[in-house]
Amino acid sequence: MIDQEQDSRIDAREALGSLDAYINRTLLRDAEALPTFKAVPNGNLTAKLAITTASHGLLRSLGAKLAMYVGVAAMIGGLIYILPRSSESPLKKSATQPHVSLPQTTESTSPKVVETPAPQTAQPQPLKSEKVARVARSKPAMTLDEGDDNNAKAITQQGYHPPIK
Amino acid sequence: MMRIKSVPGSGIHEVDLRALFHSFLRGDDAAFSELYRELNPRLSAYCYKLVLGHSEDLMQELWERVIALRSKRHASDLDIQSPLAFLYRTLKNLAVDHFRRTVDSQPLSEYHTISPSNGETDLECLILEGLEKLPFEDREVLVLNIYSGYKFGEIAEMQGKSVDAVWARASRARVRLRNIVIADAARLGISLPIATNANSQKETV
Repeated sequence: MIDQEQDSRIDAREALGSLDAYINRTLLRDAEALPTFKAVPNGNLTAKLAITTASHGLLRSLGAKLAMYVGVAAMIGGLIYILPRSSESPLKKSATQPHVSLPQTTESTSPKVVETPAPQTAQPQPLKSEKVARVARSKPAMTLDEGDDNNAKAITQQGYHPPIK
Repeated sequence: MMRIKSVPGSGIHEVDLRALFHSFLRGDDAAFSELYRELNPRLSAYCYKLVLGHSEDLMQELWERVIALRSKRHASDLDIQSPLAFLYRTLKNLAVDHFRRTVDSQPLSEYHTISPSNGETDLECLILEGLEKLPFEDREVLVLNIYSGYKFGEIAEMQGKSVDAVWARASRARVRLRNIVIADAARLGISLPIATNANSQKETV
């Protein structure tokens, strides 16, 4: 009885083993039957690859050119800025102005201020009669004429004259 | 030009892939061709089995994304330690997006049906259907191993897991697949192969 049970177990194990082997064989055969997949990139991928390569190259060359132009422009700008100054200042100074050592001067801290009294003669001078007569003749007194009777007849008072220049 | 040296069990393969990827990012078009030749057939097989025939569009999108990486600023400074893992993750994300898009518009039952063709027996059809019924993670490991030809070490690196974890996942997936096949065969009345002697010589009854 025990022998029969053991035999049936062994048979079952062998059956399972054979099923496993069958499954393996089937899967391997299915794997071999798969379509052949491409090992070379298709045209679309190749084109995209070429575009990225070209754009990279273009960017790199543009960047290099830009850097070169900027560098050249900076050099020229620097030369334009530096050359006139360098040719002007040190040479001229040395040629025209010989180095002279000036004597040292000391500044007095409290400069003397001389006070002079203002002249007391600045007083209004009365006009002479001849001058007054000449001014009166040359220029008539200004009058306002705006067609209104209420206006003042003259803007000057009697005896007033503009200052003589 | 740098060539890929695939030496099983050594790190040479991955190091060269990484070097290729970095030289591609620095603008070497020939490196891209090498990468494509090495990786496209294997990743396409993974994609073909997982997305069930829509692999071409997804692979195209994957490679376009890889090319677009180069347009990024400081692309040559991108530190991608494992290009294989990077491509696998990107492809998986694309596949998941594809599933989300298509499952909304198409019933899953109509999505894929396996019918006997190319001399396949009913049992073989049952096995292939059983593979589709496996949980995604289990199916993924089997597909990467059997269809794409990646070793467990490479799969572990792709998935960021230990080799033992991947090996355990694969053996669990095989057990689940076997159970599905047995259940379906019993339901449909399809006979299973049994061993006729101790040397496990198989035949179907």
